[in-house]
Amino acid sequence: MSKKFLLVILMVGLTLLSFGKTKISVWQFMMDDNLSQQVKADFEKANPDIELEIVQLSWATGFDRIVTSIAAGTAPDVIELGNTWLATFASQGVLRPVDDLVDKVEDNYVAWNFVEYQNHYWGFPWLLAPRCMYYNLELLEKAGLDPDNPPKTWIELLNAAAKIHALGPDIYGIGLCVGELYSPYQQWFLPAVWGNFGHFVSPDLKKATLNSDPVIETAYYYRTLKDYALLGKESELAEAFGKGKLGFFFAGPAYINNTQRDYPGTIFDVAFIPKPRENYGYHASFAGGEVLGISSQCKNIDEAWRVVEYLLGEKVAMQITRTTGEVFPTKVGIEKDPWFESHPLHRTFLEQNQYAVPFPPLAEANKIEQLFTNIVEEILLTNTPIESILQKYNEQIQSLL
Amino acid sequence: MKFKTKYNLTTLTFLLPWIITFIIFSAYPIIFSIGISFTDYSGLNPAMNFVGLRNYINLFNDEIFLKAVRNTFIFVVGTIPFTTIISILLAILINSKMIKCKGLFKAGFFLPSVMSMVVISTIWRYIYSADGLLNHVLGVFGIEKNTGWLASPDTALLAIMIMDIWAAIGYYTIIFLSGLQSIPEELYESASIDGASSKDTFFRITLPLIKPTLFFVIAINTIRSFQIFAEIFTMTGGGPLNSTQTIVHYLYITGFRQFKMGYASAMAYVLVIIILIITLIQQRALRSEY
Repeated sequence: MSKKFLLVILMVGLTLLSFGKTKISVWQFMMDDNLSQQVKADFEKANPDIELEIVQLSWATGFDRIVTSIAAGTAPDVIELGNTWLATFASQGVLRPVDDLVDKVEDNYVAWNFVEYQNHYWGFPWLLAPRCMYYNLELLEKAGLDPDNPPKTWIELLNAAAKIHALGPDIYGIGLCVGELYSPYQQWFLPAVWGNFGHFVSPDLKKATLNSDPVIETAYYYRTLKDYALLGKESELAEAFGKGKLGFFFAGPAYINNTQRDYPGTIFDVAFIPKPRENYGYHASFAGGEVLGISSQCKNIDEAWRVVEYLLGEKVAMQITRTTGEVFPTKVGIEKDPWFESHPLHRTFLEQNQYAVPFPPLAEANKIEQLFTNIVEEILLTNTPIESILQKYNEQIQSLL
Repeated sequence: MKFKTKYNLTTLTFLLPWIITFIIFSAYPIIFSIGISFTDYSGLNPAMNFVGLRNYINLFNDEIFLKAVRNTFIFVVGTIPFTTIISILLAILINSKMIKCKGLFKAGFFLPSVMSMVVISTIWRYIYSADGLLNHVLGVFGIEKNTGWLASPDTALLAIMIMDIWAAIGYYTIIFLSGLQSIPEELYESASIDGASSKDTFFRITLPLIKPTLFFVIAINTIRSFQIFAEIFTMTGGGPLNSTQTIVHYLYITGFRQFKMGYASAMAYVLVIIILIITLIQQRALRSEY
């Protein structure tokens, strides 16, 4: 009898305890199931008053799930977003402005320009994924180039690509992305514009400047590269690179582990993205990355903030880096982590971050990104005069600003 | 209670679960989406302003939408005749006495139909890639191509059409096969006794008797082809340069990526009208048989 009574008391106690917890849901892309479980357990141990629900989204359908959940009024409390999506979501009132919370951690993290839109902060920079130049050491050597000195300027890259391209019919100097959304402009074209001190929109974000001289020069250079290029989707270029058929290509850190695992015979390295000239421009890269936002539908801001603060922390972010090898924490001083000593290729990506530029915070960023994909494809896949391509899209972008 | 009333109530009770499900998951969304096609609803923001026919009018000034309509028609016109003819021929071949292992052939051709289109598309992406199987085969014949088939605006739509024909023929072959097997054997025996040639037999017996099946296949294939999405989503995302943009894919991009749900809904209803007209034309063309 007494055992039964104790059991009932225990059950009631546990039930009451569970009712006392605040549930915070996090929808994210970067943590796999194992890591999510570990993070959940660690967080709940340190924060017994919060029940953490972590949902993993896939890149193929995650965006749509976020949109439909918001439309249905069932948005998660904390949402991981690609940094290029932030302005669009902020402009639609989906995210809560977090200026009051940013003050608490601003000095500890970098890349705050990822989350700024119309003079407010709408989230927290979480993970970084810049692009670098991958190059095949063996092909450089075969082409009579110095593998220890990869190209640092546009002309050096053009010459190196031409020499590698001449090695055989099945060998290509450089890989340039076409045939899919985003990668054609992100991997190099737009960063090349930035590196040439160009912009497609004025600093006040009101005037399209795609027809300006730096952009025109970049577009001409890009078209010249086509003569020595394999054109295809990013995954196709990565595959050709892995098979030792490609001299150079531009991509994020994800292909380090993939290439080493799938093509162990390929000897490659990564370097900063070349700049226009030795004494002009800079090694600009696309600042890809992930941010954490708090939904405007969230009712427990304090608890959501505690979750965000935990996820931002070095422990979780470095776990994601070690697990995926695709992204790096935004924590100040993360380069001192011993992991980077044993991962020199990843370290180069981390250093490339100093030249990384985010997409301008525009409400119509999604549509402009699609136009940029078309711009690069029109440059590479047609013979339409460069000036008329840029003028046409300049007008289209202007109509969206 | 009268028997008839009791009978009706019982019937309604059994139908109620379906009726409720239909109202919640079909009728309400249809009516709601018709409504939002006249608004500027974004999907993210609950604000919804009535814009009248503006979404429908804008569609006819939208270059990408017009290109998507053109591509969709090319896809439909370019795949349906091939799918239909190849399916009929395969069905006749499998149905003939020449083929021994009929089950094996049926399973072989039907296999792509039970695979997810996403899986099929992913496999064909490798075939069509710059360094893929197709370019290797062409290389053997001295034809070099430094672009993937899906990365060139000249070949991308054609490549998807070929894949789609390959993926669809198995399903329609099975349908034609069942149509062929319903034709009484005596008709062929009589024709044979009368000295009819194979050509006469096909055009005077087989084809007229499988016309209902033919209409069914063409009608459902038309509707399916107008709604092509998974192939485009997986393989090209509508590119390059919108050369593979189709109505449903553009509708998806507009609604879910550009947050113009009202405008996307208007596209959906234009597509409904197009499919309705084409299906009615097809039905009229084969009306004499019904």
